[in-house]
Amino acid sequence: MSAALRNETLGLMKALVTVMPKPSVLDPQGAAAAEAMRHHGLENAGRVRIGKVIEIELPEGADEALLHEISRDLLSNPVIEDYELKVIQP
Amino acid sequence: MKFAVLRFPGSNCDQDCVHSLNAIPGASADYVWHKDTSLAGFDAVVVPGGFSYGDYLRCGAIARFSPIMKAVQEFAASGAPVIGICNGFQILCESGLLPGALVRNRGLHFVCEHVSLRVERDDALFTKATRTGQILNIPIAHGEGCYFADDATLSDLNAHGQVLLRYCDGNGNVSDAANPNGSRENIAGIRNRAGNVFGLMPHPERACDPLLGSTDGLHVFQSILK
Repeated sequence: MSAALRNETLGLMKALVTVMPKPSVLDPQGAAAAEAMRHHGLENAGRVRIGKVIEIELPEGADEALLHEISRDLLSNPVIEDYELKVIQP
Repeated sequence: MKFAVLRFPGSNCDQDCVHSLNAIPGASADYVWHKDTSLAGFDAVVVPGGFSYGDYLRCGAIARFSPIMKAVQEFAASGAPVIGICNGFQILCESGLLPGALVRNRGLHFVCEHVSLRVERDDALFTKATRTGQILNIPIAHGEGCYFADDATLSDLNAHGQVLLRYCDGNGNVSDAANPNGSRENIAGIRNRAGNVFGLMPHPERACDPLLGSTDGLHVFQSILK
């Protein structure tokens, strides 16, 4: 059973938190990946940046303000990263 | 002076710290488990290196929320000395006790080598046993030691003399070639504004015995005792 299907079946709400390095922070991983992409034939691409996505299955009635607090204080570090929180309804 | 050496799941320099500190006259050290909530009876805190919580999320991100860190916040607020080494520095930055953050090394590699560090000022709690401009030979061992702070924070750090150590070459020149990890302005160690919290990526506890190639790390601990 796919995650999406299970999501529909159980009616679970999910949060997707995307964390990206701030533009001003060095991203050597992104730069190395960009170089590898160039070797694969992708010429003239711009900057490549690598972040992460955190998927959370939410309990019923989860407080969105709490999710923002967790995203800001635990899942990301505001000194070096920005986050985006998306709540996906079943 | 009694040092508390914190232990998180994944700390791996805690024993080195306790060993090195116990060998220094006037100092003694004991472990404090991260689930403890009190630092009563201790005069200073060492947050040691390692890979607390497997570096999950970000280095130091989860350790920051360990129960003992509330006591460390209060301990620091009281003006008592707190020193964070390597992963300990990362934890202090994550917890907001020090400004900035440590990110992936510029060259992506884990770097493990002896480096030269220039002492920026000798009137700080953590450098009293050195002299300004002195070059210390202390090893580093990290993958995420690139110090980052935005322009405003950097100028603030400089304006308040908070940078205590910078990576330099053997002659004390702070240059890009002598920067092992891409840290902004070659920063290897900073203190807080109040002066009682110090974080550094190099490992002074690994440079306290001639057998290990350098005893310059002693200067850091002796400064706190002075």
